[in-house]
Amino acid sequence: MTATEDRELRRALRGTLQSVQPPPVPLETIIRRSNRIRLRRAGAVVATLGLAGVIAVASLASRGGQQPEVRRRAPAWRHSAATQSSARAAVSPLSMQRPT
Amino acid sequence: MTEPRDELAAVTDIIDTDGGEDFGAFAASRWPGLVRLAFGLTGDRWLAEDLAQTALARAYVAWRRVSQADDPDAYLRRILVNASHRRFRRRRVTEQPGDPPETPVEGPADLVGDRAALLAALHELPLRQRAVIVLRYWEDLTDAQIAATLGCSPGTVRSQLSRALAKLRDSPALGEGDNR
Repeated sequence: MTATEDRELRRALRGTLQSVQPPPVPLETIIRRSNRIRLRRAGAVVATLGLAGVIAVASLASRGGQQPEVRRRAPAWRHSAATQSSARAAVSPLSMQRPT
Repeated sequence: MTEPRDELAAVTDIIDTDGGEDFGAFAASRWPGLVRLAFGLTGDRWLAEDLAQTALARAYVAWRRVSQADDPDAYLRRILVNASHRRFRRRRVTEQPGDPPETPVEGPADLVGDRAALLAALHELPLRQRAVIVLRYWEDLTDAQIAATLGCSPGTVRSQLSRALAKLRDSPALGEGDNR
């Protein structure tokens, strides 16, 4: 597009849009709309939280019928004894050799 | 019976006491420009006013952020352009170029015809190309500013602009206008 065409388009668009005479700003309507937007957003947050709560309760209820799997822990003395024996096994036999 | 100006002052007071600070003054100063920008994007006078209201309402919801923004106008423009795209997608509006604005039409009749032709040509363009044209030639924005408004890269803006200009040049609506 040439500079003249560019200028012409700018002039035409300005002429067209400047001929639009908007009415006075409808502040009350704008405030009402913004309140509706706030309400809708708050409603969406409440709905999301509610849905998350329902899902959480449902999953807890479905688990409630089953016995939770309990792992028996070995007594502390046994655990430490096992750790020590495995540590002994991990020591290389070469390191146990006496220097000649 | 209260004067409209008094009502406006009352609403502005409500807004001011509601923590909105100078939102009333901000809205009043931006309203004409927003309606005109929206008219350029939609070609429909009533839809343009509706979109401008939506943009200002959303700006009021986030007023603290908008008032503290470096460029509140850029924020407002972005809301408006997004709202117009969303409206178009949601309603699948089969757009018809609106009549050229009926109030007040100054100048000779062929000027009105030229405006109608320009609107018709604009509305043959895809949404994004139309937005690029209006933001460039009406708002006088740079490629980077248009890119920020549309959420794309400056390169995309340049390519959209050149495509839009090529289509406008070939548009029969504008061709007729030139031949007159």
